Amino acid sequence: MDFDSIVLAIIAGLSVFGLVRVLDGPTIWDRMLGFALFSSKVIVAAVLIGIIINRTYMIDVAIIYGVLGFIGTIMIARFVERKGDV
Amino acid sequence: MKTHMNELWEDIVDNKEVIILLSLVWLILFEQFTIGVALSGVLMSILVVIFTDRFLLKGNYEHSYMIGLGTLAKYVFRLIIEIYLAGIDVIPNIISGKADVQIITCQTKLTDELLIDILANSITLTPGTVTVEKKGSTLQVLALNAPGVGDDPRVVIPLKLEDILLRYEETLDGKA
Amino acid sequence: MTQVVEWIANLVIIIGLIFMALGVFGIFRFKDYFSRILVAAKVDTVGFITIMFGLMIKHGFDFFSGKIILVLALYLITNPIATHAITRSAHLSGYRIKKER
Repeated sequence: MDFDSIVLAIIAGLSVFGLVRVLDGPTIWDRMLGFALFSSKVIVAAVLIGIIINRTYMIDVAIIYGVLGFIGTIMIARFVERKGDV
Repeated sequence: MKTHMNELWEDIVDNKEVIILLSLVWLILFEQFTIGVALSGVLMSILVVIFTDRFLLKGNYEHSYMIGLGTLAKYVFRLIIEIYLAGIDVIPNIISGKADVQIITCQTKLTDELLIDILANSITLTPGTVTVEKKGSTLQVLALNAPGVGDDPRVVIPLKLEDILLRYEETLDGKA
Repeated sequence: MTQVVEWIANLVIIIGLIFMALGVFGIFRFKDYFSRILVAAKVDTVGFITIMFGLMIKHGFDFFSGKIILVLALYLITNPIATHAITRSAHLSGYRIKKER
């Protein structure tokens, strides 16, 4: 078990706490904040997996995940701000 | 025909910084450096810029999105330093658990729309301040450790970043 | 020589992990939404940038590091816009703090 695997395990443990904030946030904006935190952890984890298995395509996965998480956050915030009318 | 070619050439010369940046992204995504890839990258960038200029934008491309390469590099370097300074500043608040949150209205000296947007994004990116709303050159900033009632409200803006943008805006006015 | 570079990279990554853990700790520390988004989400950004720099130092100068720079640039552009959207939605929906001036 080398250094990169340990870092990956710690990142995975931290992302669980972000999901806890999604599950029991008092308001809906707390849930969105937890989702943004979780998506940044996923980007770091994808790049780390790319380093461990020594392939470049995992960084493309990270880029695509970043774009999709961004669009999802913007759309949900707009939905809440206009009270159901996108 | 002659005038069309001239217009095309002027568009390419005006947008050369954007074309260089797009070609670099194309090269990095292909992961190899040969003559064919470089030529196709430059061709694709020129096509993208000209298509956006003619069909997708109402105004002129070089008036809407223009930023010099040197200013961009200096700005990113300064921004990372500011992020780290503010990040270290915030740590005692996390450990002690005290927060004094206020919404502050303040003015910036910039007038160009794109530059104000860049400044607002930088304010959000530094820890401890978040921009809530922007109208013209008036910004509403949500700040931790807010200044007192008698103090200057412009403390919440990172002043060195605003200086770089102000200097860039002067050269922009001289050119246009 | 390569050993020394790898130790420096590991040190930078550990600093980034400490920043990220502080962000996750701050999200459970505060009771108010506005102070949560001010402290927690932004310290998390510092941790992200530091870990990416550490990975770039570790891998050296090649196309892999170039792609990491692409990810970093994309994150630096899109993250503040998402934070604006969430906070503006909370502000317009009537979530208020005690004092305002």
